[in-house]
Amino acid sequence: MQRILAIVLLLALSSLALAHNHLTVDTLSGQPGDPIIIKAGYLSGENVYTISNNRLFYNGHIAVYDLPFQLTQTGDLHNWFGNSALVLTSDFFFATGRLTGGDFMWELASVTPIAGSACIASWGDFNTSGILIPSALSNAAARIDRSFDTGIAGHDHNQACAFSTPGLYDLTFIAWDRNNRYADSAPVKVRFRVGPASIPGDTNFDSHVNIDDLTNVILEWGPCDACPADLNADGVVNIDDLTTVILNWNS
Amino acid sequence: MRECIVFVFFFESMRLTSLKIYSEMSGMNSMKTVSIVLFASFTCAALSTTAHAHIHLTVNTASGTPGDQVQIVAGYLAADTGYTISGNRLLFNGEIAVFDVTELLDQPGDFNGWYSGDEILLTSDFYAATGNLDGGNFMWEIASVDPLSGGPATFAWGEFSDEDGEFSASAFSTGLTQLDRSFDTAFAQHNHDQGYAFSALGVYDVTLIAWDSNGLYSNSDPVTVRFNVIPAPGALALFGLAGLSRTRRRRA
Repeated sequence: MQRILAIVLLLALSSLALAHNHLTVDTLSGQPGDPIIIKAGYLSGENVYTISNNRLFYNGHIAVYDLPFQLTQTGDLHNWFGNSALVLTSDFFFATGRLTGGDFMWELASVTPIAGSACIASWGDFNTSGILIPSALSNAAARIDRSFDTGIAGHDHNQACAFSTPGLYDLTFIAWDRNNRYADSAPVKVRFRVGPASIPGDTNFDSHVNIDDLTNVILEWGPCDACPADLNADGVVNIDDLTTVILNWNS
Repeated sequence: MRECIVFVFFFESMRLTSLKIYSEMSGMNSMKTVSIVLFASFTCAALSTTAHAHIHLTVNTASGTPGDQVQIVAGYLAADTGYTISGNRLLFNGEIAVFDVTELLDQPGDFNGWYSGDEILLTSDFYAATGNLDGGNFMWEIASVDPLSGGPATFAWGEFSDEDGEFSASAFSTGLTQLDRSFDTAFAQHNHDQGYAFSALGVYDVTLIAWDSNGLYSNSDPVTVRFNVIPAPGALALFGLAGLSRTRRRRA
């Protein structure tokens, strides 16, 4: 029964994170030198998304985007994990005049593993053949190569992100203006859960449930928002998460 | 290969046009009717500018003052330049924009066999931050569907399911009330899952009117959008080849 419950809770978490939503840019007044502001939750139906303390939240909890599926395409992103659940735009506040003169880029400033090994994140567009072509890579040397271009009043539906390896990652965005009219935004972290979530209890994404996972549960015991050991995503690591690990031991 | 397919289709279309002249005297069967529609679609589309890009239509008002008229706006996004509205008509590069609708729906339920597309998105987000839309809840009425070729068709606007990709509609051109004929984009909405579908093949002028279900703003002027409902090129080639083989069988 506990096993079924754990699976159901994980599936519920996945569906939550698969919701499609947008991030966009704004400034205070459109004056040269104004810092760019990354915003979420401005569209109808998306007001559950907020940004606070440089972090994207969903319903007050750390938002987590699940990327369980690998790209079957050939080329650079073969077998990377990708989806289109987060759309970067620059259109919503354009008509206010506060973005006038800007050309807005989204830098993949860093990818920090919470669980799992080092990872490369990319952002790009699907071409007409359905192949995801990366235009921004987090490990690129130049800022422009780490940045996805949303241009002026851009709202591109073909974009998607992809991650190279399974794990739990914080991707940090910085929005900047290629025309140098506006100052860089403050960083905003977005969490991605990469890889198949088919093994309940696997807190470190190594495809096994063993002493490492048990250790994670013990080390993260107590209130812990969207941390790897919070297997049922209820905001606390407790007996329920420990039970999930035990029930799936040696999976 | 592409040239060959086009040639086959053109040849078959001309042959069927001849059949149409004959059939006016002898009575037309459904196969011929469909063929004539395809030919008419082909020629009508050739006379207009086919719009392939995915574009957006949105709403605005002059100042957000109660009583302001809703305005339907096109070409406001960076990728949508080239689209304008003039003379109550959506244009692409100054000519009538034509959106091909080619996807045959193969799904259970009422829409099986309809043709669907998603090259136009109806939104209400772009001017929301200006305050011009404050207090409004914006609907898009399918005010009329006029066939330029083909028979009467029902037109529907709705959404494709995230889960199974199936189309379901919330607005029908045949709806009895304005609400039943209207797709809801609410306030500050930008829904990527939406699409539309036609019940029959042909070329159609669909007229949209944007209105505010909160009653704060007055109805927009009508804007007419042209759709060319035609099977996908692969299906057309097969259709043409099938016609040729039938002809050869008759001659044999």
